[in-house]
Amino acid sequence: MRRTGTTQTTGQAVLLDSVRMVHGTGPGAVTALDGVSLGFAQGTFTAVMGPSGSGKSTLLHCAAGLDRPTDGTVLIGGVDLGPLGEKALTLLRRERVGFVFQEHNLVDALTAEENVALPLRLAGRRPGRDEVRAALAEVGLDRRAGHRPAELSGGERQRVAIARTLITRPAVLFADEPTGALDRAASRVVMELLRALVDAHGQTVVMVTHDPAAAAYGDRVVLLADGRLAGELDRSSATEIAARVALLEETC
Amino acid sequence: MLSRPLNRPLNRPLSLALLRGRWTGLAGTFAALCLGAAILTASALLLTSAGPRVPARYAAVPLLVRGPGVPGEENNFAENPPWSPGTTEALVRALASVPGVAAVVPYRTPGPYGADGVRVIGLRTEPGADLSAIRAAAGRAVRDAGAGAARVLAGEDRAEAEPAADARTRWIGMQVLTAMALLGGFVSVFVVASTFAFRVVQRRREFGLLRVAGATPRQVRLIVYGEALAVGVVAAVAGALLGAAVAPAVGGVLVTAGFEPASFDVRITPLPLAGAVAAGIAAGLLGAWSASGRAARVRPLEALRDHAAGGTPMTRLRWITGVASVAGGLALAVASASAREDLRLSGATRRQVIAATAAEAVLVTGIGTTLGFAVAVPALLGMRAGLSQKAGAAVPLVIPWPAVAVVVTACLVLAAGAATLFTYGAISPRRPPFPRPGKAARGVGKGTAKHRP
Ligand SMILES: Nc1ncnc2c1ncn2[C@@H]1O[C@H](COP(=O)(O)OP(=O)(O)O)[C@@H](O)[C@H]1O
Ligand SMILES: [Mg+2]
Repeated sequence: MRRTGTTQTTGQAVLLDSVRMVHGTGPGAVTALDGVSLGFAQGTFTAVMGPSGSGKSTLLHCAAGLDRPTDGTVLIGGVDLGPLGEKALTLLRRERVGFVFQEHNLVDALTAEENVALPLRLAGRRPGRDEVRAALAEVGLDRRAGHRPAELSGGERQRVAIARTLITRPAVLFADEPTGALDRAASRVVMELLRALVDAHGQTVVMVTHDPAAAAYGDRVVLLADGRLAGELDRSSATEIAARVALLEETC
Repeated sequence: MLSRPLNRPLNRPLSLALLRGRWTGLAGTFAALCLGAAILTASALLLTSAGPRVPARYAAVPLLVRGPGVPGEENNFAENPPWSPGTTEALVRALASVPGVAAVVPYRTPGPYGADGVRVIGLRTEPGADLSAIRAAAGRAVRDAGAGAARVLAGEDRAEAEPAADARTRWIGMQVLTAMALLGGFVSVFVVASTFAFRVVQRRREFGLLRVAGATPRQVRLIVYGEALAVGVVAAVAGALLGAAVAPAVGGVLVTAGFEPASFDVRITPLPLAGAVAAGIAAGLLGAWSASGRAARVRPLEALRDHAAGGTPMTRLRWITGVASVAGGLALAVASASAREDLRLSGATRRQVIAATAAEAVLVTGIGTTLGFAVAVPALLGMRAGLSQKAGAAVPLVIPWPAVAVVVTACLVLAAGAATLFTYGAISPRRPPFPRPGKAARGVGKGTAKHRP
């Protein structure tokens, strides 16, 4: 355990220090992250952008403890993930981290409310129906509790996935292109939901997106290129973000 | 229309909740366990019913005096030597003077090779007499008459006086039933292992999602076990009922085939049923064992990948190896049986027959397994090539060693069972060679048909 880590990370929900990630070995190896040091402050909404293949997903997976970096340190709430075993890492993720993929977040066999209740069930609790309904109400879907994923629209499924991460009140919510498979209207609903979580509950959110309009909901935009940090923007308009991303893609 | 009534409890066991709409995927597991439990139940019921019985001719006689057998393992199923006429006369006289004895009945039975004579003497008692007192006095009378090694049998112990041919037939039946139970158990575990391995590969994405949602590897493992338990309980109970239903009919077949004496009948008792249910459930869990380990090793990020194609070669390989080698082993074991009969008829010694049998058992297993591999490996290579083409990348060749080990063991057990069965027929010193179905009536008839007091 790195005791010093705790003091360094005051106010930081997640901290990455010189994180390197190499996928595969030998001649086919790909360096997805090449020494990234980055913090995500508590109660902030960060958008991560960059060209395709620049390592955004890998960054999120490492920061969320879903994957282990080849090198470097990841701290969540001051706890170094490196020395944690598989079980301890799972428990830490279960308590402190929520993760939403672009799609296929839900277990098909379970209803919306069963999906939402899942993290609590796995934590050994027997959640009451009210508690689960409240989480679904937060994403505006309490009336779809008994429906299965196949009976919900893409946007509804993403909202159920968000409700599932919310039910454990995680320290940080990661979302990898959560609106990537949604139309404009459904995207807006999801983005407003995420923004509201940050504003109303002080939720920490880290989101990867290709969409400047979605990134404009963030407090900060982090730009990634070739596995390295390529700049940062404070809260900006969609037009400004689009211009900056276009510039970045040109130089690549 | 949007909301629907919720009648499902929210906190059902996850294993069951995850099964929704997927019960059909467990049909193979269910069938295997149900059949396995049925076979186990029938075998267990038949085995527990196959104990020695008080022969019908002695039913009304409360006490029996019986001479000693000839020592030595090869004489296990030989009829006791009869008493000499002089000893018989002395015994009858001594026993008649025991107080409480109403009548002394010497039973004359035919023996092999013309060794006719009295082997059992029955004692009818006066009404209301003290049986244990008479038994003790009869014991003393037997010793006084100079037949000290004879035993006085009462109650269920009178079953010891059953014809030696029945005892031998029951012993053979025991081997057949044990082999049947073992075969049922092995095949169940094997099929469950195959179906569960396939299911886990199909569901890697789902297990990845559960890991993302906070499931520990152990919890994923328990979900697989929970599923095996759920299907195991239902299948084992159904199988036990099925087994109990068919057991009497199977008993009849065993009698006809000469594997049980004519006095055999099946008693349905709760203990074998409970045992078979427990064994069926255990077989399900055992079958899910390796698959649950593989499920526990699924990493969270596998939620992002599509794994649907991965599982087929393993499963097919298991099926092919298993079916081919078990069938091969069984066929060879049965085919080689008649060879031993010939050995015996050509005057081979016991030792020679046993050596030949052991060699055959090894051969049977070896050939069975080789046969299995010969069929499985080309099939596996072909499938691998097909998959590689589809996936656009090389698919690694996987040999499921645990399954191979199970199959080899199953073959060994089968071969050993068959070997015991047929060797006995070949080496039995006073019996004709093990009867073929056509000769069964003659073999049995010799031992049981001509008993007359
Ligand atoms: N599991 C993996 N195995 C091999 N290479 C990978 C794997 N995941 C990602 N990569 C590679 O790493 C690089 C970064 O990928 P990723 O983080 O998914 O980028 P992004 O999300 O920005 O598109 C890419 O070149 C990608 O091909
Ligand atoms: Mg990505």
